Order: sequence, then structure tokens, then C-alpha cells
Amino acid sequence: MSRDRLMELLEQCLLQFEAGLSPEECLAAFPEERDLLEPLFRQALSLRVAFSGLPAEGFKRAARERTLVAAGRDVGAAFAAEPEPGFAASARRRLLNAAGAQAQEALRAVPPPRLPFWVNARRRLLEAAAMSARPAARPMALAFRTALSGSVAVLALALLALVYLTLQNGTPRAAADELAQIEQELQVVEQQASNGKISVSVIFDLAARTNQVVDKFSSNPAGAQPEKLQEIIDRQADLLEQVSPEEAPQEVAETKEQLDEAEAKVTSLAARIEPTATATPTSEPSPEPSPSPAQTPSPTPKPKPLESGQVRVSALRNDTTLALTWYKVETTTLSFAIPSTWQVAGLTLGSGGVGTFTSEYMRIDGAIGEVSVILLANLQTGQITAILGDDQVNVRGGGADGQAATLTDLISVVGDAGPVLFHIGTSAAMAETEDEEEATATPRPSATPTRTATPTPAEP
Amino acid sequence: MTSSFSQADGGSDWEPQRQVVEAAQAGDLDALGALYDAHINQVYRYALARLGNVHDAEDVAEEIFLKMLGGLPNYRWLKVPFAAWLMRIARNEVVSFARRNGRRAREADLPEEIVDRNNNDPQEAAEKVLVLEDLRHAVGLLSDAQREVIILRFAAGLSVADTARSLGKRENNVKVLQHKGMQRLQALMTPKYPELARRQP
Repeated sequence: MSRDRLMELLEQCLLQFEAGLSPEECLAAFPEERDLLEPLFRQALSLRVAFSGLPAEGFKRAARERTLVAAGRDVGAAFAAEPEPGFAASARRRLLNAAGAQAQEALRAVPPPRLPFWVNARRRLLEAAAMSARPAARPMALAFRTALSGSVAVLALALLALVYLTLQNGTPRAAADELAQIEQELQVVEQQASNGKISVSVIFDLAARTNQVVDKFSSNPAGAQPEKLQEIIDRQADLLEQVSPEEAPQEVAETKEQLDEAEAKVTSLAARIEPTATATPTSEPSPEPSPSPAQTPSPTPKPKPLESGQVRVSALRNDTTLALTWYKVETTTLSFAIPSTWQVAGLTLGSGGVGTFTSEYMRIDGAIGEVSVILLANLQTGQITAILGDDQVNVRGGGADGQAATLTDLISVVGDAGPVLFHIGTSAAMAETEDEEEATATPRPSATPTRTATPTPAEP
Repeated sequence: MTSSFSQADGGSDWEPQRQVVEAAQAGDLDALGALYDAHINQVYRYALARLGNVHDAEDVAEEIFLKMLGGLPNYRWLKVPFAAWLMRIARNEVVSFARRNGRRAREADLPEEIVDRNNNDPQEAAEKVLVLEDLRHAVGLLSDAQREVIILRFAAGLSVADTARSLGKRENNVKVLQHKGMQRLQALMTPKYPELARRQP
């Protein structure tokens, strides 16, 4: 029998064996070739057994996590490019200029409004009257009154518009959103400044907008955080100090003016808020304190329970850890806090801050100081891993009873970023499920921080 | 795909595999996880067979998947199974690891699950373990090309066609190497275990 034929039969026997036949049944199909085939077939089966070692479960799981984390980091690096602040500011200016020019062009193309018939009738009447032997001053007085009535109408409209705008801009939500936006932009500008790229016009823009936000909070202090506002003003002042005054003296002076003005308003705002915020309880509190709308939160409606595949992002109003604003990210299996400026990748929120997210892994992009952070949360196991540059650290171990990494351990790996990650880890909690006992029975990886550069040897 | 001869040889059901690979190329972490799950045993077995040491095999298996991440954007779907492409990376990584660490394959203890399998009779189980250890030792005595084919075929579970793609050889060539390798194994094993060459009663 030729070698090719023998190899072909061996292949067929192996396939039949894979399909569930016993070796004897496989060989029985080739009685004439059995003598030559059987030693080879049995040897092939022995080889398969000899090399059938499986990796340890612990290694498989840990290596899987590390591979996926590495994949997440690559994706993060690919999307990490930021435009220069100078370019962004100039593009913004050009965009606004273009919008203004287009608006002017559009207005030019519109024919003047056709005057209502009665205006001409009135004019003709006045002209006719002027033709009579009346004193010349009389039509002048009529014209003046006409103009006066027009002015009153315009003034009324302007007042209405002003009231509308005040109501719109004065809502605390709008001011808080604008502040969050400013802070996010400020972070980028600071990052660029650390690389030696700084633009006065960008700082001026931020300072002016901060000033406006402070105005909004001054008119409606609900939800105002004077410390936060002051911090943002200070950070802008720090940036301004890095700019040489000779470079753009006028702009530097104007920016400084904006910041001083904003700071003065914040001081005044803080003084207004302080007494209510630090009110100490009396020694004998009244059994039924009278509720005041400013201090007593109205009973918030219980949030609708999430369904599988849904994510809710909501503000943690009472959480001011590390002087940051925090949001809660919540799924049916896992919840944890993140700084308000961080973003969940691939999540679009709908009404009630709820969005759809079906992947097993959730990626959150953010920054701590000047360091970009990628947070990877395994929504099934509850394990949370953070990547900061070349450092990778486990923030929380997997499982319902997964342990958060200790602050000391985190600081030893990621330095100043440790406290933020520590708060994320300690805030994380897995939802209780019916088969929780089963989940806790299986061992989960611990949250001991490890660096990617020196992976810990997996258990044999 | 791990050690299934039928699946490795089939090739009829390409579309699901293709979709997973393309999703992984687009950065879908779930798809990457699925690729990892489908191939980790195969990659580990290959590394263990080549290096003979559990710790080295684990290190290299993980490194192979990291290399796979780097190469994934360049992988082109031309009906070349992903496993064949992955095992090419595995081969390079094993060679590079052995060179870097100045190591040759060492004898590793057989995994527990093999030792304990069908151990109704402890005496018989112990004998089987000895045979399997000798067989692995004998594989180490083959020529490089024969050993590579035997390990890809029986440790990684690749088909003849995929082994050929992975090694950049023709299928005929692989068949010849496999046949010669098995004959040589027989020659090495028969003096010690003459019953292996005989037809089973």
C-alpha cells in the first residue's frame, strides 16, 4: 500500500474517532489494511494523549484579562490624539466668523418687509394734513409719537427676550453642564500647556465663560459649588501665569480682569451659601423641622429598575470625594463611581440617563491630572482594571465579594492617581443575584495591583 | 478548532469564523475574547509540546496572543484559517523564546488529568504514563521538520492542510514528514514496547 493511501486511511480513522467511534470500530472499516494501519493509528492516538495537557484555569483567565486589557490600550492609544488648543481656538473663531458672515449674507438676500397698508394710509393722511394750513410743528409731533410707539414695542420685545434668556440660562443644570464642559476643556489646555503649547485667547475664552457661569450661579445658587468654581479659576490663573505678558499684553490683562471679576463673585457667592451649608443643629432639635425648599431635598422618584443590557449614568450629588464631581455608572450586574468628566465609550444616553450597552466589557476614558486613564470593567465578573500609560492596575477583583485594591498598593503603582482609583474601587458593587452563592463559590482573581511590564507569574 | 480533526479539516463553515475575526480586527473586545477562548488550548498545547515546561508554555502562550493583537490588523482573510495563521505566530514565538532563553525542550511531567484517566488499575495506569512519557521523549529525538509536523498535527490538532499552510509547505510534503516521523517513532518505541507494533488482540 502506498504511503499516501496509508496517510489517507489514518486521516479517515482519526476523523471517525473524532466523530465518536471506538478505535476498534474505526479499524474494522479497513480489514485488509488493518495490519499496517493499526500501529500507526494507535500511535497517533497515543500522541494525542501525550500532548493533551490543558492550561490551568487560573492562568487562562488571567492571560485572557491581560490580553483584552492590552487590546483596549491599543484602541485607546489610537483614539487618543487631541487637537492643539491653538488650532482649536482658531478653528472656533473661524467657525463663528463664518456663521456671522453667512447670517449677514442671508439677511442681505431677504427683501425689505412690505409695510402694512395702514402705514401708507397714515402717511398719506399726514401728508394731506400737512398740505392744509396747519402749523409745521404738528406733523413733527405726530411722527415723533409714531416713532415713540414703535420704540415701546421694540423695548417690550427686548424685555421679553431678556426674561426668557434669563430663565433659560439661569437653570442650575445648564450652569453645571457648562462648568463641566469648561473643566473638560481646561484639562486639555493644561495638558497641552505642559508640552509648552499655550494660547492666551483660549484662556481668555475659558475665563469669560467661567465668569458667565459664575453669574448664572449668582442669580440662582442652587447646586453651586464655590470651591469647585474657585479651583477652576485658580487653574486658569496658573495657566495665565505661564504666558509671557509681552506676548499679548492686552489679552493677558483682559483675561486677568475676567478672572479677578469671577473670583470676586465666587467669594460673594460662597458667603451667601455658607450659612445654610454649615448650619449646626441646635441642641434640642424640633421634632418636626419645618421643611424649606432650599435645604430639604424634594423626595426624588425611585429610578426605574434597569433591564439587562441597559446602563444608567446618574450624578452622585452627595459625593464630593477629592473635591470632584462623581457620576454613578450602573448596570444590572455592577455599579461604580467615576469622575463626571470621564466618558463611557460607545454609550449614548437617552432619557433618564439610560443607554444600551450589551458588551461584556465596558471601557471608560478619562484623565487624572495630566495622565490619561482607561478603565475596563468586566460587567460579568465585576473586575475593574485601569491603564495609565504603561501601567496597568487592578482596581477591584472579580466576584460579588471582589476586594478593592488598597490605597497604599494603588499609590505604589500609579502614584497620585491612586486616590481616584481607590474611590472607584471602593464604590464598586455587584448586584445581588439569585445564584450569588454559586458565583462566590468559584475563586476569583484578587485585586493586587500589578504592572503590565512585569506580569506576575501565573500559578502553575 | 482546538484539537478537533474534523473541524480543522472541514473548512465548510467559514462565515462565522470570518465574522468573529473581522469584529476582532475592528476592536470588538468580545470577539477578541471569543478568539482567545477558541484557541488558547491549542496554542498552549503546542507551546508545552515544544518547550516541555508548564511555566515557559504559559509565558509563551500569553506572548503569542499579544503578538496576535499586533498582527491582527494585517491579517487578510483569504480562506486561510485563523488557526493556521496563529500557529505561524506561535512557531516564531517559541523559536524566539528558546533562542532568547538558551533553552531546549525539557521533559515535563504529564498533567494530572492524563495520569488519572482510566486509572482503574494503578499498575496499568503507571505503565501507560511511562509509555506516554517515552513517546514524548521520542518525539524530541525526531528531526526538526518531522517534530514540527507531529506536534502541529497531534498537539495543536491542525489538519494536514492547515499544518502545510502554517509551515509554508505543500500538503504532500507534510504527509511525507508525518509518515516518516511516525515510522521513526515506531522504530524508537518498539524495542522497549514490542506490543505497540503488534495488532491488538
